[in-house]
Amino acid sequence: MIIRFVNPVFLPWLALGALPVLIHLFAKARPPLLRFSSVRFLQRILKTQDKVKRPRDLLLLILRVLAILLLVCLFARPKMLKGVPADPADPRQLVIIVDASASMGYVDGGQTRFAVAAAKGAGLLANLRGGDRANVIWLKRDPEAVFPELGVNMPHLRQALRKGAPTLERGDPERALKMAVTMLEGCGEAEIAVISDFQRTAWHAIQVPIPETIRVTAISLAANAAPNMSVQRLRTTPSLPLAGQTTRVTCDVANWGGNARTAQVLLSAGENHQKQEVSVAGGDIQPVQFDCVFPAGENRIVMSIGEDEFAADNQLVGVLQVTPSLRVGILSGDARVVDAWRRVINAFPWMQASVLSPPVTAIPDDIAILIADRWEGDHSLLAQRVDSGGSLLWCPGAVSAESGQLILPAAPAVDIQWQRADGSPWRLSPAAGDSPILTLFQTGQYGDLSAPAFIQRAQLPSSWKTRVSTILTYDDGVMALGISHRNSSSVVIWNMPVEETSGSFAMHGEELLQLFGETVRHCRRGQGLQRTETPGARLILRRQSGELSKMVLRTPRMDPLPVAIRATADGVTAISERVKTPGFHEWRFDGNPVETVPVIIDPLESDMRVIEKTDIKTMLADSVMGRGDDLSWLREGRSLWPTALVALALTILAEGTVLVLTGRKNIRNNRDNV
Amino acid sequence: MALLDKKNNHGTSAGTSLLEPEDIARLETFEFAPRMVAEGLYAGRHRSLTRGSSTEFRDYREYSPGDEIGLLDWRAYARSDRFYIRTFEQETSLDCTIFLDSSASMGFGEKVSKLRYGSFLAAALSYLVVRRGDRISLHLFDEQLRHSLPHGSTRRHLNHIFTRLERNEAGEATHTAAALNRALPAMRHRGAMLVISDFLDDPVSLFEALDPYNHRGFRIYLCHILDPEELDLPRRGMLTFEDLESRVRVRAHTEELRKAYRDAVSQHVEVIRQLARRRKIEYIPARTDASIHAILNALNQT
Repeated sequence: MIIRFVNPVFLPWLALGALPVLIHLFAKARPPLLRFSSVRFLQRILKTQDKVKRPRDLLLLILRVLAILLLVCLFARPKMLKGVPADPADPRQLVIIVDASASMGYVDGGQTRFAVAAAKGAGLLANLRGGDRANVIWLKRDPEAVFPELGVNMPHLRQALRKGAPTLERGDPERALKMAVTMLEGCGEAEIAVISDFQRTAWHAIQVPIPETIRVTAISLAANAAPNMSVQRLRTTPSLPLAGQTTRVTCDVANWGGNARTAQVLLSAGENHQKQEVSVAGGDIQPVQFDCVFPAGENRIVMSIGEDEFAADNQLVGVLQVTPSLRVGILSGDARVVDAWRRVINAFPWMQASVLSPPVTAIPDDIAILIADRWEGDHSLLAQRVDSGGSLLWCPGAVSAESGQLILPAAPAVDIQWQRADGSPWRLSPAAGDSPILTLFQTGQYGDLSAPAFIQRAQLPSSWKTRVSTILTYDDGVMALGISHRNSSSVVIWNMPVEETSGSFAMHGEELLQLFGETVRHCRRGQGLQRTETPGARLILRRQSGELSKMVLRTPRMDPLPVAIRATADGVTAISERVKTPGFHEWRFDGNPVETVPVIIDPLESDMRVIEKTDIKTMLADSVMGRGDDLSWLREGRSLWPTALVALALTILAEGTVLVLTGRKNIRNNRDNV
Repeated sequence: MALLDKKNNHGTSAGTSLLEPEDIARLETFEFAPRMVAEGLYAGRHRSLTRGSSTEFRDYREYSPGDEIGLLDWRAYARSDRFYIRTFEQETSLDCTIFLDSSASMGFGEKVSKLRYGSFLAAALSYLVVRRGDRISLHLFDEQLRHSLPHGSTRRHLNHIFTRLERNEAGEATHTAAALNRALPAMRHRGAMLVISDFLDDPVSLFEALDPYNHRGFRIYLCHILDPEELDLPRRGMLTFEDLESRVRVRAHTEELRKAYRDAVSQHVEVIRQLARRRKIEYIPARTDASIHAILNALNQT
């Protein structure tokens, strides 16, 4: 901050400030002599007056010196300058970064923050003179400059600011700053003006090296803790529901403001229309749950709350894929095993058994769980199925050999020994730890797992215990049931033969069915909710073959979004332009819907908390200005003569007040003392 | 003021200038007759504690050998068959003492000095006392008793007083208490006592010095003489005040101190007045710009 004087010729007159001091020091009054009868009373009065007069005189002296200095300053016309290059005559190089991220759409004081930012930017441009160069960078997901380099066409920049609109994207401040720094490289003394709400989630710990020749001014448009409510984080339980199954749909309602607020949450999903009122404390998040039943196929879910200051995050969309039933494949060369498992599967109305007869060359995609007792074909088929989200349940089945190999996906083959009980049969007991699969059996209402007796089983190597979670063991410690979860699939070791020749498990139907049902339920992994995208992203559709020229992407308003088709080694890929609005974007092929992509605003944009101005200054800027600050004084400076005039008036007023008050006090003191 | 340098109607010849004939003419209407029990040596107009031979009956007393036979009350004897003597009040002359402050501070005065004013008052009072046939005595003091004239009631004595007053000048510092203490042993008979001073002294020590007089039954008058400029500082802006007694100099702005000074002097006067009232001493304030007859009136009414 620099102070300059418009009329510096008056500055030498500041020496007049010493005048009262000199008068005070050197003026010696020689009053006339009066021979008086007694000065006893005078001395007493003067003694008490001196206690008041000395500090008063000092104060008056200071005030009078100040008054003279202010008077001279008034004539010298001081100006306070901020953010001015060394020589005001040099042309300015200015890059204005205008935050166009989603949070700038927040309505603050009757207008969006972006509108204020654009006006501030236009104000900065208006302060430029002929010969100055400038540019505007929009701060969004992929920052974008109006000109490729600094330009002199200020009207165009102003028009760009006027026509600009906030995006619903998440901003990338670091890239925008780097772009501005790159643009100003080699320009000598230059300036960057950042106009933003300085949202904490976006600006926290930004690390951009700013050259010393570049002066950064931050113009902060937001106050901390602006009130805002958002709905976010959609999820379902179970995550992979089946048609007709009661599914709990949950979302979070967040209150980013400081005060508690109440919102009505609306759920709209096909035939399901429900609402719920929720109160959320300031800075808190409350989950809201709805129980729904979905039909098979693609289900669009819309969760919304009432509109507030920031409307973009008041709606949350999701697409839930619901399968009609669970297709379970049976792969075994033993007819008894196949028959036993078919009967088990057919006992569940939501499962459908499919018998795969060897030799198997491919496993259909719609088989969610494959039950296999041994596999003599291509092991990569199993691995592919597991990698693509299918689960594998291995069971020893009927013993046809004394020994064999167990080959599981992504695991080395291990030798196993088949065993037959010589004397008493083996019985089951739960392994250490609480497995959710066994929760159902804790009360005994759904059967007793120790009741079935087994006379045949596979002897698994002990090293397997470290590779899978053991759920059940035999009474001699051999693993009976284990599960190993992968990304979206599971591999289950079911070492409990179900055919009648291997034990009495088939005779204990209740225990068998409940245990199998629970195992299937927990071995299904993955999400029925489709992955969401955010505004600013490009939507991609891949197909192995087909004529993608007929592929169209429709926005939530059913407007077509341009799509680029690229042929790749795997097939054909359709890449859309950047999506701009949240909602359901629909891929259509030849007029028929193919896939729906839910697009939601980035939840971090809902958090309206801003970083502290001191942090901005430490991290980034030479000077930080507020929303209401007048920007013209960045260049023109702020005239201080009105301030000096007011200060002068106040000084004179203070002098008078001191005189009056100390006079009264003096009299009062004298009266008390006498 | 005027001179009194020729023989007046009353045969008073004084080589003084304190009383003009017209002043004396005006004084004819005044009288200084304190209502008190006097203890004079000579028969006079004032009631005495001793029994005497006046015509005013006092009481009866039983006859004792040696009493004058002519004083026996035969009628009382006829009624009671016992000898009683009738006694009468003794009327004596009044002894009046004037203490005149002649310190340096009394020399202050804008038109007439306080000392001059006080001297005139003393002269007038002396004249009234002598004219009534009572005795007057004068003491001049500053920090000590400078001159003392004994009691007398003759014209000659009056002239001595006038001469002393004319020759009197302001002296050194004031110490009224010391002068009063010094004069006390010489005061043999109770009477009236007038202290004329500006009382720029310690009031407590002054009244401590007056207490023995008060206990002996003196009728005490304090005549407090102040100049108008002492009561209210002159509006002359910045002044260097020099104390007439201590020569101490003080520089002050009269406008700034005026109100406080007025309050201080008023407070001082009030203190003296209160102390006097508690001791039943007559306090008479006097300004030098006021007529002396007002003081005489006040004295007459006490």
